[in-house]
Parts: sequence; structure tokens; C-alpha cells
Amino acid sequence: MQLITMCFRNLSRRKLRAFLCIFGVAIATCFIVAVGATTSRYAAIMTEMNIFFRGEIVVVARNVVVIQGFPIGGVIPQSVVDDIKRVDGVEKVVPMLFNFEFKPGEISSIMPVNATIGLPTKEWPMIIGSATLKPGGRLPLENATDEVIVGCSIADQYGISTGSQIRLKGHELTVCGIIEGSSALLERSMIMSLELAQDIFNYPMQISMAIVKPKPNVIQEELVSIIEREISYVMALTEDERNELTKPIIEVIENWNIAIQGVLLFLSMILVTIVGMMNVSERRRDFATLDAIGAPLGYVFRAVILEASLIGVLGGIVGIAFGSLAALVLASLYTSIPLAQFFPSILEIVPPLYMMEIFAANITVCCIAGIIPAINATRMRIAEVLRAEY
Amino acid sequence: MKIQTVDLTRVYRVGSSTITAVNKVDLEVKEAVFVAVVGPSGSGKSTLLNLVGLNDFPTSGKILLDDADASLLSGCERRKIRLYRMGFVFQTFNLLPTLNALENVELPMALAGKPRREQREKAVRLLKTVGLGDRIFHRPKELSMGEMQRVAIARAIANDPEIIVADEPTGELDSKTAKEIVGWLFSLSRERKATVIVATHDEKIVEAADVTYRIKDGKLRLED
Repeated sequence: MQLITMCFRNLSRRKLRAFLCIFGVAIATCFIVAVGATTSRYAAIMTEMNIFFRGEIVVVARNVVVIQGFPIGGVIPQSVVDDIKRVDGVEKVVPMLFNFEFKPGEISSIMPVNATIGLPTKEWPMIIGSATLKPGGRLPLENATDEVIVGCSIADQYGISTGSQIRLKGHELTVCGIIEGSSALLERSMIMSLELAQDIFNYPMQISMAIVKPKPNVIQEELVSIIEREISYVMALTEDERNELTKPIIEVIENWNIAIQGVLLFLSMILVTIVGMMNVSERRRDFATLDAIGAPLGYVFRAVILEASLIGVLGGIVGIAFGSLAALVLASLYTSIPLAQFFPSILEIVPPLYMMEIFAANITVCCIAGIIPAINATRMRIAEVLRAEY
Repeated sequence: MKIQTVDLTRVYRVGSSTITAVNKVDLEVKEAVFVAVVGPSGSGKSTLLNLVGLNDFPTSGKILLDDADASLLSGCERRKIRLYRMGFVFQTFNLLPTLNALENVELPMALAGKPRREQREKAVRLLKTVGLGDRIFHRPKELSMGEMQRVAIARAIANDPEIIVADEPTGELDSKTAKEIVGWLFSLSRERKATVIVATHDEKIVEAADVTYRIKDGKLRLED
């Protein structure tokens, strides 16, 4: 008789109780997975944005919120580019306009849905970097004023392909390329010339930021100080400073995530302990009988721990399955991207390693939860229990 | 296995009062004999059997197993003796409800680490011996009381113990079934050369016993 079979049968003796306990663990796991995967995803997106503008200085309007290199709102006059160029030690300045599209009044307003990036056509490699275009696509021609490239996620959502004509705020645009998935930002971006972006979004001669490439051997911190001193209404940020600005946000997200996971796992543990205590209390005679016929303490201990961990396994499987689904629903709600579009990337939103971590944490917590009931089961005084049961 | 008790006493504390369930009992049980311990309810029969079966600890006095003092044994050693050298039959059968008859009989062998195949073959053989060859996959709740007690007997002898401790084994049974059970226990003593100690009210057991002790208010005396 396998111990595991016996444990399954013991759990099934109290079907409703076992079901409710597994359900409770599953709900906790579901929340852990959904919240954890969602927050981790956004933290990862923020961290990933660090790949842009490596070794360069980003100049934005003073006091604007910056996540990695990207300012949220706030514009500066395009003439700042010439002002910066005059600063000693600056090799090159690239103006850029960002427009994050939010859905006002909806839950999705917390996160931007799409981003539009406008920058001089010949500087596009700066933002696209090593990302590739889908076959048949190309970067816009230098003299073309209506060509754009779009991220694959937007393209999939709206059925856009290379050569498609799209209409944006009254402007007819031609999609000349689709960026393949390499960055969450680029996947949801539409990239166009600076002039076109300024025209479409009505920011004449205004930009969101300027990317400054320092001359070799120039100390960035000094250059930043000079720029901020010379141009009072801007904030210049080195790569390290940008990371430092984002770090607290990511830390807050991660700390909240850990706190929520900790509380939910603790509640699971309490639940499993209570149910374990009830099971042991009800089966005192069984444990006393096992003791009387000479079952080693370890056998009884293992049996109780195994029952608790079975709850963890079953609750974990169900919770992870529903939690993954909930993470997709949340991602869909926050971005307004149809749910179906997320299904192929479920393993990116809830990575298998994360699932395994949660699963392992679940089983560990349930095993720990089984310790007190297991100790109780091994500490019975056989004679007293058997006498009391008569 | 020879069992001897010297001044064996067991006192229970109930609230502020104390109850002496077993009072300075001297008992000697030789190998392969059938011993009946008779007495009214609450006289201390079950307590005495729990002490002899190493399921309980005496307040004072000694239990000698083959002249070795059982009080010097560790918990693990006591368990090993219970597992390998003793078998237990309870009034309320105490079968594990989630296991079927076969699995209940296999359990002591599994705990003793016997090979799975051996467990299965022996459990089937024992169940056939007690007349339950056609009920091996039935769970306790699907068995009659007599059948449950027969499964319990099969379980008790699964590891070929030297001593069978039976606490009122016929207490819950009708007279016909009780007679059968007595027959099984008696044959264990004779055919397997096992020492059988039975606590009972049942006169049939008393008649079959080689030695009878009477217990009253915790005091034991040998009946002539």
C-alpha cells in the first residue's frame, strides 16, 4: 500500500473539507500568480527600457516623471537642440517626441496602451536598435513624410501588415515595416518622422526629449551639470541617474509583490494547518492504531505531511492554471489588447520558471503547515486515545 | 516470549482524584499459552493489556520481556517489539477505514519492510485462512462486525508475532461469531505456538484458556 494512495483516500474521506481547503489554497495561489506575473511583467518592461540610449544623456523638461529614458508628459521647445549643441563636449543631439496613449477614465489608464515615437528619419536605428522588421518591411525613405513602422503587437491587434494604409488623427499613413517582438515598448509603438509626429499630435516645434551623445573622453556627470546650468528648464540624466530614478519604482513594485505573496502564503499555511489539525483530531483512533501496531513515528509524520503537501500540489496546480489566466485577463484590461492576442505569449507573461517557483513555494508552505498536525499525530498516548474511543 | 510483571501499578489522574487501574500486579505468562484475564468493566483489564502490550507506561513496577526490563527500552525499541513480536486485536477492531481488508492486513508487513509481493501473497493467504477469501477488497464499512474482527486477527498475525494481545475481542460480536473468533484465537496459540492474552467477559474464552486471571479493582489473582 503506497503511502500516497492512503493519503489521497484520507483526503477524500472528507470531500467537502478537502475541496474547500484545496480551493482556498488555489485562490491564494491564483492571486499570487496573477498579481506577481502582472507586476513582474511591468517591472521587467521598465527594466528592459534601459536598453535604449546606453551611454547617452537624456535631456527632458525639468521635474517631469521619467521611467528609464522615457518622460511621461512634458515637452520642451525643439530649439533646445541647438542650445545643447553649443555646449562644449556634445558630439550629437537627437530630438525625439513621445506620445503615450492612455484610455482616460478606464482601468487601463494606469498603463499606456500605445506609444508613438517621432524622431528624425536617419536616426531611427537609435530607437530600433537591433530589432528586426518582418520580411518585406523596410525603414522609411528619408524624404517620405507619411511612412511609419509599427510594433508587431499593434499590427496583430489591428490586422496591419506591411503596405497597409492606416488613418491616425486624420492623417493617411503607410506602414512600411512591422517591428518583430524584441521589446515590449517597441511592440506597442508606432515610429514615424519627428515632423509627422509633431504634426499629428499638434506639438509644433516641440519635443519630449533630446538624446545627447557626448564626445569621447568627456565625463558625463560634468556634461550633465553644464547642460542643466546653461539651460535652466531642462533636466539632463546620465544612464546611471535614469536607472536610479526607476529603481525605487521597481523596488516598490517588487516589495509589494513580495508582501502580497507572503501574506497569501501565510494564509494558505494557516488554512492547511487548521484543516490538518481537524483531520488529525478526527482520526486519533487511526493514528493510535498505527502506533499500537508499531508504525514508526516517521511513518505517521510523513503521512500527515504528505496529506498537507497533496493539498499544496492540487491547490497549486489549480491556482497556477487560473492565476495564469487571470494574469492574461489583467494584461488585457490594462492594455486594452484583446485577450486572445495574449494566449500565444502566456509563457512570457507567466514564465515557466515563475510557475515552478510558486508551485515549489506552495508545496513548501503546505509541508510546513503540516508540521504541527504531524507532531500532534505522533504525540498521541495510545492507551488514552484507545480508551477514550471505546 | 515470556512475560512477567512485578508490582505493576498504573495510576490515572482524573482532575484532583486518582484512580489506581492496575494495583501491584504480579503476572507471569509462559510461551505459547492461552491466558484469559477476566473481570467486570472498569476493573483494569484493558489497562493491564495496554501495559503488557507496551502501549502504556506503568506508574511503578516492572514489565519483563524474556527477563529484560521493558522500562529500559526506548520508544523506537518498544515500537519494534510491537511491530515484530506482538499482535493486537481490539474490541472495536480498529481497522483503518480507508484501507480494504487486504491492505489492512498488508499494513504491518509493509511497516516491517517486507517485499510487496510477499505482503500481498501472505495477506491473501491469511484472509483465506480466516474465511474472508472472497472479501479481500472490501473496506471495513462493507464488512460485518465478525468479518472486521477476522480481518483484525489476520492483521495481528501478519508478522508472525510471539504474543497476541486481544482486548475484549468478542465484546461487539454475536455469540455465534464470538465462538468462531475464540476458535481462531485458540488455534493461534496451539498451531502457531503464540502466547495469547485475552481480556474478556466471555465465558467461552475462559473455558478455552490454559490460564485464567481474575482482576477486580486493579488487583489480579490467578484462578484455580
